[in-house]
Amino acid sequence: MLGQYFYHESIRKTIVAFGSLFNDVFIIRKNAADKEVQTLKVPLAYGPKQKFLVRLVGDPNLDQKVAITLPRIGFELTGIDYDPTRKLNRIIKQKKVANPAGKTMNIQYAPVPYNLSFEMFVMTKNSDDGIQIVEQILPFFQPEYTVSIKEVPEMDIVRDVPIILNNISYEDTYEGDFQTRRAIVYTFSFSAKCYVYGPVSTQLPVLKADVKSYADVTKATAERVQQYSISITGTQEGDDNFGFNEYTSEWIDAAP
Amino acid sequence: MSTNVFFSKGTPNEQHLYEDLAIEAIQIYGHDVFYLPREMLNIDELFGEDALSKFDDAYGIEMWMETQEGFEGEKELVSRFGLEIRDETTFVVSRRRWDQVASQSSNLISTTRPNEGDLVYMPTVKRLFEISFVDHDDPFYQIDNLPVYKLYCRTFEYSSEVLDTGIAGIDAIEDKRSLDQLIWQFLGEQGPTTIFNQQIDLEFGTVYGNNIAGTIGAGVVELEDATDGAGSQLLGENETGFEAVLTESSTAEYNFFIINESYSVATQAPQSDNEFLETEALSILDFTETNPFGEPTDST
Repeated sequence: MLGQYFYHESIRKTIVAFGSLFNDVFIIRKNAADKEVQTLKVPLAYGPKQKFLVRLVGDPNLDQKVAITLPRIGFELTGIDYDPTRKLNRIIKQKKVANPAGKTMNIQYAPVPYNLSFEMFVMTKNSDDGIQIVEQILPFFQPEYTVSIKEVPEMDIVRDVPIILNNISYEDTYEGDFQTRRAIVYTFSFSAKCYVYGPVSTQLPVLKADVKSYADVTKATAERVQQYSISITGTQEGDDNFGFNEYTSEWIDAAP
Repeated sequence: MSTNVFFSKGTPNEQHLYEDLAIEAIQIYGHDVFYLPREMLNIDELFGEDALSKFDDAYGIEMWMETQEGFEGEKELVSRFGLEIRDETTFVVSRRRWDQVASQSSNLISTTRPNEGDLVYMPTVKRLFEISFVDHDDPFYQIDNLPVYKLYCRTFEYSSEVLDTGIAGIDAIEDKRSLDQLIWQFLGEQGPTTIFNQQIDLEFGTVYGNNIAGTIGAGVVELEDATDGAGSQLLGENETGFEAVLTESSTAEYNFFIINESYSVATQAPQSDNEFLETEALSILDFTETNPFGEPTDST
């Protein structure tokens, strides 16, 4: 946009970070003697996918003998909302030496705050499976859990992103006729407070500054009274411990 | 007041004939299927369910598929959980044949009729169905008897139930789809004696070597990161004739099993993203600073 391409994967990274939180959820089933006999790792997947891939990956040989394998966790991005409460001054710049040898700096303006809304769905066949999953998730969100995301590696930006658990709803269609499937589905609603970053531009470092002072700028030919110059010494590279040279000239009566 | 005795709605001979004709018709037009009674292992009285249900019997029997034009139901659909196959059908089975074949199973909750929750596997279409409802009076007393059951079935929602029927096509479902990690663990041979925290030895190890306290025996199996004298040995589970191979750090509360490397959630559930997310998150998440409100394992 506006003549430049950039893509920092801010939203994609937040989706991955969010999903990875629920990567190691287990269900343990015990027998009547209270001995652990099954340990299930719950499959997790981002919900929205190309339909042809769902079909081809899920049943490539047309031999899927069952309806679905449960339990499962699915999640999806459901909303992107601007968050004015976290707004920063738009002219704040983030700077980083890009290439010391090349004497360049990376410049990036302040990111814009957005809340990403996620919904996560837990589907189980058994009620106990469902509450095992729920109980492994809830204690970590009070009501937020914070992850540190490497948002813009080229600018060394690592930001803590709180992921807030807003609410949970629960559906169990156990009533009705016998031919209707029973579905136990927990729906978790989350918000992730992330930022979306603009382009990174490159500029040379400032090596010299000249300041000229004038006595009366309302006049057509203002009289200069002082000139101040400052320039750096040394190798002029980004990681150089350089010094400064300063010059000051003053005019008492009128500008030359 | 009584009905006219000169007009019978069904004599025993007529009823038997009618039932014979029904059986013959099913055997001509029907399909060979397997009836799998559900074995309940640990019923949860609160939730009224048994997550450990097991199916270890399969009775071959003929049934007529009433939906001759194909399956009913929503069929293949994409949901937020991936691909679902919601096929439904209705099987008709003779009462007499079901009594002869399947009613002997000790797994049946009710032995007088097919049970809701039991499974029907149809090899022709390679589908495993769960019986959602057994209609016992359709057709309704045509000659004062009920010769058949109608089994309303839908594709089974598999939740890592044990399928150990001896029928390859059925048992393959568990091999392919079970999420139970413990079926991938290394097991010790079932021993006849009680063994507590017994070391696992290589076959060339000696009894003498094992009995030296604190000594790393010649045939002891250790984890790769073990240091001499400090135990990372593999042990047998603390029970009679150990079943599972555990790491030495296992306790009474937490057992750390050794899992076959070929186990993968992606293999058992191809539509899952667990491993992708785990790999992808490694380059995205930053763990260089310890968060006091983050991972509980950092609080030691």
